[in-house]
Amino acid sequence: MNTNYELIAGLEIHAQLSTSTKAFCRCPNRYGAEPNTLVCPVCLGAPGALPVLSKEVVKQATKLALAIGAEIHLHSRFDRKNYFYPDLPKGYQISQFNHPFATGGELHIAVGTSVRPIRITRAHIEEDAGKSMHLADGSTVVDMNRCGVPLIEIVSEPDFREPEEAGAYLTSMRELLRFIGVCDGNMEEGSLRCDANVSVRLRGESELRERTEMKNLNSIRSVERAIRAEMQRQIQAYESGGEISRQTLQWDDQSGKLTPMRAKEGSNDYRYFPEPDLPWLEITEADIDCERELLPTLPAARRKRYREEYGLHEEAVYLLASDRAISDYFETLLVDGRAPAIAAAWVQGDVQRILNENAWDFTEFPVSAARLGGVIDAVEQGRISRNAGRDLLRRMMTDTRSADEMISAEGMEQLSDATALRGIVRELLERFPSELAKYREGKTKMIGFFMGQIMQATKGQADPNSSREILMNELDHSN
Amino acid sequence: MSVTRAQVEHLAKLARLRLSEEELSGLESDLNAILSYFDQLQEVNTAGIEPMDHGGSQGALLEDDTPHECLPHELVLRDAPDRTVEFFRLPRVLGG
Repeated sequence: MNTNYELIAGLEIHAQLSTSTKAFCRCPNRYGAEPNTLVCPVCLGAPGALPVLSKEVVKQATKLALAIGAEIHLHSRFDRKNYFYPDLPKGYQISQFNHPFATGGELHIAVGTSVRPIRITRAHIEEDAGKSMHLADGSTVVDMNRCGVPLIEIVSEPDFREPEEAGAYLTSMRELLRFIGVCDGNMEEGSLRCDANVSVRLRGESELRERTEMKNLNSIRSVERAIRAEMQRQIQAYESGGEISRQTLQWDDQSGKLTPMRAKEGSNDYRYFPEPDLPWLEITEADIDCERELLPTLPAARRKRYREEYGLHEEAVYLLASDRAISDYFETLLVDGRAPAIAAAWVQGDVQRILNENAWDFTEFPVSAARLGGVIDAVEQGRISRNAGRDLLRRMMTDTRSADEMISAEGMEQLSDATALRGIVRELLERFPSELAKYREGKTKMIGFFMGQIMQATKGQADPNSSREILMNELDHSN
Repeated sequence: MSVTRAQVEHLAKLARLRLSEEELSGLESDLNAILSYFDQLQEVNTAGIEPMDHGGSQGALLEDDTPHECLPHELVLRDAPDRTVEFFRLPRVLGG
């Protein structure tokens, strides 16, 4: 790519809020229902039907605004954005234009080793449209179930200079939305969607050039690919003496091609005006404080603590703060004074392996932090070996008892009694005189042979560290 | 303030209205009459008066996030000009 040019890109993220009902009517907000079964006169745009906002929408929007450090406006207003499209039965979308819910804020992104803030312009509340689809017989049909589902639209400043930065921002925003529980972040099901605004300019130029808008970026990868493709197209146009005109492009993930959408769909003439059916949205500082108290410690702050106070390595730092449930689970393990590095190794290693094998989401993991904590303690106290602990955790998938109950009921207690172990070791040295002789001739690998025999004699319950110590002592001092 | 014929045509296009020359002329003069009335309103001194952009005197009342019954599926599609068993069906668009 021609490196005389730099990218100027911004993202608009639409996140469906995790409410039980739609934004302006009390139809369920649920994905995957039978078509046209979650609708009522309000979301179908029947004449005379009146919208009423849900409390929960305001709470979740507040949480998001707090999490990105935006300024929340105590008075905000809804506007009608007018356009005609078959999935929009009212002929307008209820959105916020002149007086959005929140403005400002930022989100930090990490690309390579550098971390930098991306500025956020605004976050406003609006409603989703229905969904049209094409049938095999060539006809187009509409499902209105999604009409009125609450969205928060988060608009960034044009701060991205590399396609990967846009991808990193979307990754962080998705993680944050999930972390604070306001959006499930499922891009395949469309709960999280993204549009990009792209322009390029020669390095050193201060003016912005004309930009284009890209829609239908349904994965983090397609955001990066589409921005890269559009960047190249614009550079080529300028280099061959052409111009870029403002237009909306549709990204096709399969072909990797951008095609212009019809001009009228890209029209900015939405004739916004205040929604007469909805009074101003008034909230109080007390409402905001209430949500602030409920807000969990965010991923960025958790990572800082994991890195700086717990001294965890970067892979663990990243994983353990990427998901609220995992992070809370990990932190619960630490409550009883367990060492962070040891707890992290169990969660990152054994737990993660079990999740992968079963294709489970963390919420499906059946072992509570208290029970895993019991396993970790038994291993750390030397009552069972690390391997026995690993087996115990696996058996907990189908066994609901605590670690202590399982260990004592099944006599799993590790053999670390020195007198008993010494007796076993001496017996073995007598039983295998030729192996002992080989060791004495300098074949140190016979240590492994004797360790194996000890484990066999004790059915794996001998504490490996004590056994090894006693074995070495006996090998080197007995005659 | 006034509107031009081109602006009226643009508005008609945005509103998906197919208008005759006569109707366009009628609307142009109607719109201009409305705008000149606003010009007249602009003459009122409103310094120090809070703008009123909504009829409601208090903030929005919010509802609990508890789902209600939806419309029965058959009723939803009953008045659709065209439908399949489950969906609203759109008129075919050529050259879309």
